Amino acid sequence: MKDKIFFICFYSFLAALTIFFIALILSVIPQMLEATPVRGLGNREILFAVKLTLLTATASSLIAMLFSIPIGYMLARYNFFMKNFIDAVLYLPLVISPIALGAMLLIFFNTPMGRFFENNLFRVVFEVPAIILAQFIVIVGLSISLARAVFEYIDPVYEDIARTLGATKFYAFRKVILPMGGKGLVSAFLLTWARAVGEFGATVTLAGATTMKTETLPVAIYLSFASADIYSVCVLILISLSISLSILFSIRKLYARNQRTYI
Amino acid sequence: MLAIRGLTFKIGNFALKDVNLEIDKGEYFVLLGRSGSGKTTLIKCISGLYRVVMGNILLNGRDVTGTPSEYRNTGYLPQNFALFPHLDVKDNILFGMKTRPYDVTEIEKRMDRMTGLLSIRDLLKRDVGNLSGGEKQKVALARALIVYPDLLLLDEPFSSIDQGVKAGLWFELKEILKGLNITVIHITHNLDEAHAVADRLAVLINGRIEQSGTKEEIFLKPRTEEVALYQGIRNIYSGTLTSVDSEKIVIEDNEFRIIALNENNMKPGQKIRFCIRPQDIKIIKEGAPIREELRDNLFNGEVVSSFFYNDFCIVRLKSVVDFEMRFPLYVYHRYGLHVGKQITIGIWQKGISIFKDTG
Repeated sequence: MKDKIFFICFYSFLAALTIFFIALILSVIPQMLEATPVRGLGNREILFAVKLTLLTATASSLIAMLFSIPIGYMLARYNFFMKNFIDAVLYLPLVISPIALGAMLLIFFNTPMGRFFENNLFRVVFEVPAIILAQFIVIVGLSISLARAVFEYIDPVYEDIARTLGATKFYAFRKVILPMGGKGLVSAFLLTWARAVGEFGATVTLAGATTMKTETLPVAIYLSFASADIYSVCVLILISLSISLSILFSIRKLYARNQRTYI
Repeated sequence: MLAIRGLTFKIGNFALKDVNLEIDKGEYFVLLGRSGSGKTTLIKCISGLYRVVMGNILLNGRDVTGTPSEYRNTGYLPQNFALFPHLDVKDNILFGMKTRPYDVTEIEKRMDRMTGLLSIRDLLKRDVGNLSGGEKQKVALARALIVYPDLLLLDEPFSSIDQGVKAGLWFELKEILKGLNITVIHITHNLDEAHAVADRLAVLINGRIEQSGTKEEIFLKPRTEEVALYQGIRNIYSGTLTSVDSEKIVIEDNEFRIIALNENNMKPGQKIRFCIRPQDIKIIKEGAPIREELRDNLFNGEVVSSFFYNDFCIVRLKSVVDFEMRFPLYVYHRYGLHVGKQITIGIWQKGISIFKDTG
């Protein structure tokens, strides 16, 4: 009897939240059918926003993983000077609001160092690189924590064995740790990418909201909402939902496809 | 072949303290100790996985104390075998051959030799996740041996093997490694396993080598109380030496008087601690002649409890002091050692080990 109450309680929470999410999604469709376009969001603009979002999210996620793999590994395996402080600094993007991060970036590019960068390398503020940088700053804390969890889960004894067999630390990392953590790292990449797709606050602060220039999907939703264009908001929301759901399904499939999971 | 001199190593709250060991080429050396005694830490120091800053490790006369693990040529078999799960059996075995420039014929020759020696040729294409404990052990052994290591370090290699097949594998493993004339350090907490495979052994307690020597030296004559306790000996007593001559000593307490062999150049008046191995306490059959080495220490007592194992039993006797005895099962039945039975026992003098002067 007590077991029944336990299951009823827990399943009630699960069902309540799932129903709420489905209701949220379904509520968009009738609104879209009833509304009439105001802003005149054309196919070209939607396609631009989708393309720009996918391109920038992919670039920022790849760069984030490039940093996260070595940093996550170091944090998982080694103790070093000021590790706790560095750890806290790297995780700051997870707790600071994206708008604050965007403002900090904007302020940085107003300093002599930032101006030197823009004058001598390439323009960032209010340009496409600003979107990538803003997404990167927002997601890198997440990708580091995911990569770190992947490496912490792999028993160091595998590296020990590889090293006694003549492998250098780097060889052991390439041939043992990376392949063993492969699935986990792909998942980390996909989750990070999904977060980048939805990034808005830092992007709009650093890159602005210029139509057909820095207009990612969340920015396009914001612009349509600002002009009370509910139809376009709904269309863009459904596109965002489709992208997000396909990513989440891929992650689930990646784990379900093969039982031989190492992490 | 391997010499460890004054090795002291601290990790967290644990430390290896002044470890000294000498192991000869081709020797099968067992490091005995409880969990947490520092066995694995010590072999990680030897293999270079931990960086040692105090003391020296010499391998084949070469000081390797600061040499990284990948250049030491030591094979390592961890407790769970740690086969790489993303590689099949063949690629696991060949892993070490790919870290160094070997030609194809050499790789094939060694592969053939190792898989033949360990009888694992039919496993080569198998996924490591589908192997039994014994198969995993052989694959891990082949992976460690294929690079022809100077020293093989085995960390509790039988801990994840089914009890029933363990004993057979002890002898098989030793036979294979003896055939290769490879120097081995095998760590375990299992006394039977140590007894079965060791040429020589050392007992590590709380990061310190308490005793090292041959099997006979360790098991017949524990040098310290800690080593005796580790072996499960509970017959440990205190007494004073009341008489000493060149051959024998007399140990007395308020309750007993025991005569032991003078092996430690003892002096009268010394307070000592000593132990008696449970298997060195014999039952004296009424009316039968008493062997000379038992005659000095005869006690009468009453059986108070008995515990049975697969092929032996432990009997506790209430006498001038409490004695714990170990007999084969047939002895129990022959003498009817039920609770309350009055018996006479004799203590085999060579089975009495004197520890140290306690002041």
